Amino acid sequence: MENLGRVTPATALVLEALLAAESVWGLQIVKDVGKKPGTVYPILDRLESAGWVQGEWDSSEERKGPRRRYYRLLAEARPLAQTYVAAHQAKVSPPQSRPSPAILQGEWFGA
Amino acid sequence: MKMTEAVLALCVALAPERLREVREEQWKADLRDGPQLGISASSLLVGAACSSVTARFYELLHRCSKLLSHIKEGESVKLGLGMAGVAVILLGGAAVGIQASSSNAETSPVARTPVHDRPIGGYEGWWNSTPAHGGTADLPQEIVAVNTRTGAVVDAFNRATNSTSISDVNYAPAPDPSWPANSIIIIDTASGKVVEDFLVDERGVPLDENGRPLDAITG
Repeated sequence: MENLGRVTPATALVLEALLAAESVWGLQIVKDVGKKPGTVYPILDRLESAGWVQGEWDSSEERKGPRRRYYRLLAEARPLAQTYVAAHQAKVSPPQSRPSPAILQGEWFGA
Repeated sequence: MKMTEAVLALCVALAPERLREVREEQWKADLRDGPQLGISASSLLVGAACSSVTARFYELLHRCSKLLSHIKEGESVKLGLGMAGVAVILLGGAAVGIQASSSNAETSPVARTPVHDRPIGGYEGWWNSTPAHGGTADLPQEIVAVNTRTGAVVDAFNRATNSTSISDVNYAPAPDPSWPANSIIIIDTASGKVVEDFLVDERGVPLDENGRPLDAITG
């Protein structure tokens, strides 16, 4: 499993979707994340080539024709994925008690 | 639908070879089932294209880093040999080019050995030569060479009889003001047209592109 380097918010969202289930259909991830396939597909490719997720074919025999591609987050990647997701969520919803820059600026003017 | 298939095929072709089969089936299934989730075909095709381009980019990046690591590991000898091979090929190409250009130079008109009735024995060029492949159908079957300084016929050639004797050719060229001055012109007797011309000095010796007689160059 390779280091992902910089993890974008979109990658964190994809990881979050992957953490939510054992195996997720690629298009379902697109839907859950709320991003375009042009964003999600390359992220899934990157995660797969880095050894974080494993792609597998839909085993259902109900549907005829081409098979859906499902993605499963590998067990060894789950702890790190959870860390990334938590970090992303913390950035998205900052604590309410944090002082606003305007107040700080006012203090500096007064100093 | 055909447009969608064409774009999909393009996306598949763009993808790295090892991924093509998987991606083709995956994207076909996504195109079939995407509308159920409210995802349009165009959006999916853009996604497929992005996926292919990104995968290509990372593959290229991987190859570059692999090459760099090989160089670091001392495999630069192989790289050097490869580059030497390329250099040999390039030099070979240059040599062939030089050879070809010198061959072209040989097709310039050349004065034949003088005979008793002519100070210049005649002129050799494409018009009285036989190409290596033997096809002469497109070449003049009979020509005369006229010196426009004098208006005299100074050479002739009949391909059928392989004769260069002027008396064997029954053709009397009519002087034409459009003929180039101080030149030898080659006239195809079948059509009466000038098929070649080149400058000569007062002796009839062909001049090179710098205006020097060819015999002065060859010594």
